[in-house]
Amino acid sequence: MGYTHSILFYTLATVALIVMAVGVAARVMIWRQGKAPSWHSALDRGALARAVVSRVLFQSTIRRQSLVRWAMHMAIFWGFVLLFVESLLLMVLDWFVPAGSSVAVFFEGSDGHALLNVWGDVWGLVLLAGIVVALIRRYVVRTAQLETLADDAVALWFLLGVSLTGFAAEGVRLAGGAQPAAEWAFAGAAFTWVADLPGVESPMTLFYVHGLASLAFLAYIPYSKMVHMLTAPIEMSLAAATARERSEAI
Amino acid sequence: MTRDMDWSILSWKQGLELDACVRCGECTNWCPVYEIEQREEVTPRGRSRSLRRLRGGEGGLLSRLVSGPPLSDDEFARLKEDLYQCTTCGQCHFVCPTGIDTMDLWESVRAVFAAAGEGPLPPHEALYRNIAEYDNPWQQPRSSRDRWAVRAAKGKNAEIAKVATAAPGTSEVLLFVGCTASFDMNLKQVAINTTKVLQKAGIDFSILGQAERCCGSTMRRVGMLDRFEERAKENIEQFNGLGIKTLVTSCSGCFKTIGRDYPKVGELDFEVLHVSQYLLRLLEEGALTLDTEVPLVVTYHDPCHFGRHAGVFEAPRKVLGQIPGLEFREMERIKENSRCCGAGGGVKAAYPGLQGSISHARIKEAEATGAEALVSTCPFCYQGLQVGMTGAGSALRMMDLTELVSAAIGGTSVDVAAAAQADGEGAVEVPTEVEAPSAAPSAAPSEAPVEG
Ligand code: SF4
Ligand code: SF4
Repeated sequence: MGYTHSILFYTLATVALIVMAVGVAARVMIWRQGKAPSWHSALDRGALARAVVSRVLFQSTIRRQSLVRWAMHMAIFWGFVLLFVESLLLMVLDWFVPAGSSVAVFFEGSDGHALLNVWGDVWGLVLLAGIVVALIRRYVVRTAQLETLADDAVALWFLLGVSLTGFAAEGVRLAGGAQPAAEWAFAGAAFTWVADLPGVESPMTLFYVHGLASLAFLAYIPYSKMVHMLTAPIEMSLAAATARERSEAI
Repeated sequence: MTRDMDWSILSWKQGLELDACVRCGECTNWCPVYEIEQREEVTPRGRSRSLRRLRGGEGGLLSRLVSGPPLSDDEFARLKEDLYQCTTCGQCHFVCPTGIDTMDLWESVRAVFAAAGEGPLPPHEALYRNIAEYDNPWQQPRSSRDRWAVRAAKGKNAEIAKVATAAPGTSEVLLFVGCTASFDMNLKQVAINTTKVLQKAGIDFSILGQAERCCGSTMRRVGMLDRFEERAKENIEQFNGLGIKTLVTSCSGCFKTIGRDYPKVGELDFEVLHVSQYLLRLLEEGALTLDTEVPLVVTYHDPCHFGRHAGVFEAPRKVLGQIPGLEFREMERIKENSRCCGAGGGVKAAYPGLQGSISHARIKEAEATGAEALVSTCPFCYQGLQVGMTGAGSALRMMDLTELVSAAIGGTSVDVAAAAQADGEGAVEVPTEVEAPSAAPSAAPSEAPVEG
């Protein structure tokens, strides 16, 4: 894959996850101060399951309000989730899949590289497109319903940084020499020039910059508005599961 | 300054809800208060942020790290006021992509403030004192609660008088009149018309008369949770003791309170119906027929506590649809997105100017339909909307659904009703029955209760 695991990187990853977990725990402790019942009749599990699909995965509530907002948020949501899945897969391959096993052989071959290159580039572009639309809405169109506090700005620019450093890291990797299935990394190929920038001599430099930016973003989630990545899906699902006791149509 | 906020009053889900706002601002497009005030602090987004900072600021370093900087004393003082610049209309819940249950959240947060002695506002305290002392928020003597029916004995409506003299509990159906229809001179007609229609359908029903007590909606809406629960328990005991099968009310605020809030306090041994639901049932069963032409063009206002809060949108529309000669037109914002009249949640009592402006916006919407009359199913919305009509100098006529149904059974001429309304008389066929109390509630908006 061109990446080798590093004790330093995984140590930092552990630190980031601990910081994230502490933030989540702090939030949960605050929620647990509440002692009143959260619902008064049995949860509607069917409605909950349907809400996970329609409201969380397909974000039907936003789609009804604005197609642009829906496309933007779907792009950011799915881009982020599916790139995260790829990162997890790489970690699993790196740490847990025995060398020489059929899975390892597949991902070391050109088919495996092609799959990962296309996956990363497609979802990376989807994420980037969503972020760009969000930036345009906030800073160019200045959509009236948006209020921009420091938290809103940091979250968006942070995400943009994570996204761009990902492409840059791929560009530097591609510039570093022949790679299997390099022709499938169509978006990364547009970033090979990054390798010529001063301070990017080692192909690992950008890999670390991107890796650290991604880890910092994960750690940042519970301390910012991005906590909605955890709370909103829960609330959306529970809203549907308790709709009946509010006499609401689901 | 130490603030003794007891966050255990919330549920853990409500704690999570304060962290679930994605800051999309959709609520700002719909909130009736923001539409007038144009201040971020009154929006669900702004309020959630302030509440997060307040709650987190009371904890340790970690708590503050995840919640933002603590509120200053000035910010806290403003938050207390902003918390009551909300009609609890529930519109934000229906447009929030996260689906935050703001309908309960704002009331529960108010309860946290009230328990800490930081709420409600002085006008709400005054209303509570009235309820405690008089069993109604209007400061009217208990003895005048059934005057609308008792005085009928002296007029032409001997039939109506029977209701007042029937012992409560002798029938399976109880008509819960509610404080507004019992005491407001313009709205006693709601009680009279409901009575006429039920009698026409041959329903054996009774009222509680002077034993009827405020449902306590006021206390619930402004966050006086303990006092509300006390009142709810007493009323539940009284209702269950009657052995009734059905409680019918013509007030949406009472309907939401008894039908949706009481079951969280104690078990009800009967069904709770709004009069429009009950009338629809009677019409569908053939117990009631509407055969008198009512040549009017009308539009319908969904009361927040009947529509969004209780999920009833169709029953009143279906009843209107059965009135011969009536032309029904919808407003632009209806059902889940119906625009609030501005009266609920304590706004009419504490911020009458704001209520008037919100109501004005709704009246403009009603006028745009070309309707002659604006119909509602809540005496409190009736009052609230009438404020807007007066402010707008509107030619629209405010009507309760029961007035139209009464006309459609031949019980009331809508022309007579209009004339009576123009004269400031609440009574239609029985003008002598309806006497203005010395301090007519509709003349004292700052004393208005908070249901609706
Ligand atoms: S309940 Fe109504 S008035 Fe209150 S914040 Fe929500 S939309 Fe605004
Ligand atoms: S609509 Fe809901 S998520 Fe969006 S800003 Fe308002 S409260 Fe927050």
